[in-house]
Amino acid sequence: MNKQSFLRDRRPAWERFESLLTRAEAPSKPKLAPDEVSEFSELFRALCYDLAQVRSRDWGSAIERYLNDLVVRGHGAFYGGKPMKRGSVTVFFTHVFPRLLRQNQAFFWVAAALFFVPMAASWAIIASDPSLAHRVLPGSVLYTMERMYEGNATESAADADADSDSDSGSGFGRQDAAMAGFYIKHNTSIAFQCFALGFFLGIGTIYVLLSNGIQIGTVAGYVIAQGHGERFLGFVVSHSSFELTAIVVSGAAGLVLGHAILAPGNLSRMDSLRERGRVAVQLALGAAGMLFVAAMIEGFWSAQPLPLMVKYVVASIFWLAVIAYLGFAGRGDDPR
Amino acid sequence: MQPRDDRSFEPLSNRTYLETPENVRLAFRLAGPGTRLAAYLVDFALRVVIFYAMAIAASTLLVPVTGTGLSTGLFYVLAFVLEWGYGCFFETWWNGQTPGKRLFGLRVIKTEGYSIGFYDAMLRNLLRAADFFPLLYAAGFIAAASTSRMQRIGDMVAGTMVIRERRPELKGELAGLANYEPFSMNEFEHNYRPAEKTLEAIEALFRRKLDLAPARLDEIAMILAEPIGRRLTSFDQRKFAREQPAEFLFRVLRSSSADREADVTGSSAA
Repeated sequence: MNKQSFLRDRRPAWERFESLLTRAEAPSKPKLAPDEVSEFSELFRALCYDLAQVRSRDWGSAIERYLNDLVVRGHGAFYGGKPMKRGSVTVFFTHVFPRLLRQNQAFFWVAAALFFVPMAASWAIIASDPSLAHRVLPGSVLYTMERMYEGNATESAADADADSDSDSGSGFGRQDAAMAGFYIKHNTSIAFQCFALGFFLGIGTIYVLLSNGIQIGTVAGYVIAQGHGERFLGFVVSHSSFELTAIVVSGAAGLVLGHAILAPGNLSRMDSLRERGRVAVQLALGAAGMLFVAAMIEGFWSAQPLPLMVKYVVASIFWLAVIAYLGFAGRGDDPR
Repeated sequence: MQPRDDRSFEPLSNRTYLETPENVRLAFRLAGPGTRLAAYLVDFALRVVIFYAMAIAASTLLVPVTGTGLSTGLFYVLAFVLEWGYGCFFETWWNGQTPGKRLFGLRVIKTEGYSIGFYDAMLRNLLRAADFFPLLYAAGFIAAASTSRMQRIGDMVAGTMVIRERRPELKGELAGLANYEPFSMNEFEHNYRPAEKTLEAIEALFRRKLDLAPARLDEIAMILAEPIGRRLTSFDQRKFAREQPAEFLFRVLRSSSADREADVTGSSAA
């Protein structure tokens, strides 16, 4: 067999394969019929053989390139990943994410300690000596924080009873939507950064967790020490359930990534990263979902002028919901 | 597992190879930092345009209907989605391409050679935050420079690489080749015929004929003309090969052009 007769014999098969391939690659719904799939597989193996033959006989790189290209595309179509199922977003949040978090809970607890311990410590220290707050945060930030929770005392309790749901939507409620949007953008960006910087041996994540913990603790200690405790707690207690937990979850995601490099076990560091990265990104996605809920609560509920008691009751429901969700969602049978 | 990487023989190559279950070694051309930067800038510009379009739409169309609050909130959410979701969205639904990558013929694929999925796209785009560190993608550049598949951090974790997609190249006829007088087979010893790869090299030189100064053309041609010329039987012809190497090589090319025409039509089916 020489090159010319080879080309003459094999070209129809290549063209047939290419037409099947084009259909297999198309995003449209009906792809290949069952017998076409087996034909595809046969042609693909024959094509691989042809490529090997062209190479071993050195029949020129034009034809080799053409076949290589065809095999590359065929390889992608043949061995490619499964398409996403419909409803997988729901399953992700009801089953996959909480399960994955529980499987990796060691990282969650470490992240929680890295976040909550400095937060509690700075809160306690600033509460006992508010002037120290200026050593953590610039005065302008503290001033803004103080103004935010100062409010006019008249507005809250007195109007609270009169404010029906529809009423609050008129002027005040529309500003809420702007805030909700801002929180989604701002907080989720921090969470994603917290996750991504975990690549640097987890150091970036640890830094983000510590600094956020210290700052939040400082603000809390300072604002309460200035006598705005009720307004402050009434505001933050509801959405903090989802928000703070989500920060810890994204921290856990970052730590998973850092751990993959530091302790790859029997895998190479690269393989370990790839394997654990898949887990980490799902945790980060789950955290993003939780931050979305937190932003909704923060924008539409937290600022409502309602009695403190109502806020606390609702907040404890939110906190229980978070614990129940992360602790128990997705236990039992697999979905479907 | 990572597929085995045998680039150790080609330390400066921009190719990477992958052995398939069919025992065939596939070659991929990797995209270098320059093309990737260009694609990134196109995507960046597009994002800026979308961002301002959104801002104008929100302030002129939405505000009168919903008031500033809701439209500002929506704007923030869309800005967030644009910032973090742009790459992920396009790379998932356009099979590894963003508009910028499509423009420059780049595609993100798994290092195993097949197309990427949602989590891959998500990973490599979220990890841009690490690649960007400390500024202007410095970490990503170092990572890409030091991995054999030019992977930035996001690519390493997602197990992806950015390749330059081959477009089947349809080269035109070799204009003017017919003016060269072909050799006949018996002018070479043992019916010598240059290998396909050699002929392709000559063809590449022929296409650059007008771009090169004649002296330089001969200088390059000498590299091949010398060993091929030695196969000639007649002394005069050998002398001709030494003195006019470019002319000689093009005549060799012309000699095998009958074969080559069949070859070119064969590959142009691509």
